[in-house]
Amino acid sequence: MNNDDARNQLNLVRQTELRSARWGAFGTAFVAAVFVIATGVVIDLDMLWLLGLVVLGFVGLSVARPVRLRLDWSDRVGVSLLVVGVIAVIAAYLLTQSLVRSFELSAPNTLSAFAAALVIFGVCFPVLVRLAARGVSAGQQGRLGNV
Amino acid sequence: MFDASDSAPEADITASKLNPLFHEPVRLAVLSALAPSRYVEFSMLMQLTGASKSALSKHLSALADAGVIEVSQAPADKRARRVALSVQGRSDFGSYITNLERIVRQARQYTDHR
Repeated sequence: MNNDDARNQLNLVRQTELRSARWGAFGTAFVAAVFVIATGVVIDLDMLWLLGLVVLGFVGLSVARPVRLRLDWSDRVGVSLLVVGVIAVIAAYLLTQSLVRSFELSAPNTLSAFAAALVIFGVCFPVLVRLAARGVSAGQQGRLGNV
Repeated sequence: MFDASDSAPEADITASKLNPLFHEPVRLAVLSALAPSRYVEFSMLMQLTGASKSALSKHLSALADAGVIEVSQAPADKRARRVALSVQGRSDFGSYITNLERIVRQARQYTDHR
């Protein structure tokens, strides 16, 4: 195998790894976002007895994901970013809730849940991609594919 | 064009260490899709690799026979198949990538040297 073949193989590997990591992260972020929105809707409708069904749906969706990521928990920066992401989701929920309540709008929990879902996709999704991709490169030196 | 096999003696060793089972592009794409995940469902693997159902089945059989991957049934849908890298497969794939990177690095050092 010559240098060009090796480089082409590496590029194929990097592209497919990234695509797979993105799909896996999208699935996880989607399930989390649906869970948060469903919880917000149930609370606003004052139908707390439906929370059990929401949790069951969450577990079902989690199990049925077509790609389950293998995250690299040794990546301290990535883990810190994920913690920051989770804090940002909670902060977005609380901040939107207080804003919606101060403007006396209806469905404060649903609107807050949508804001939290946006943060999940905006912050947590790229961090999950990073944690999954780092898991592949852990123990390997440098990335030489796209050169 | 630099050929790893005709210059540095280390490159000869590197080339001989490359697992020929992984050379095929579809197999390499399958392993790359499995690397960042615990498992990937068969239908998603088709989408990620762009391979047809029959071609993918054939390659998965070859990889499973070599002990590189493990195929199991999805708990939610018994018709769906989940594919995952085995411990040995993950290690072999890591070595394969390291060797590819070594070839590229050696080629770069060779051209820099000239």
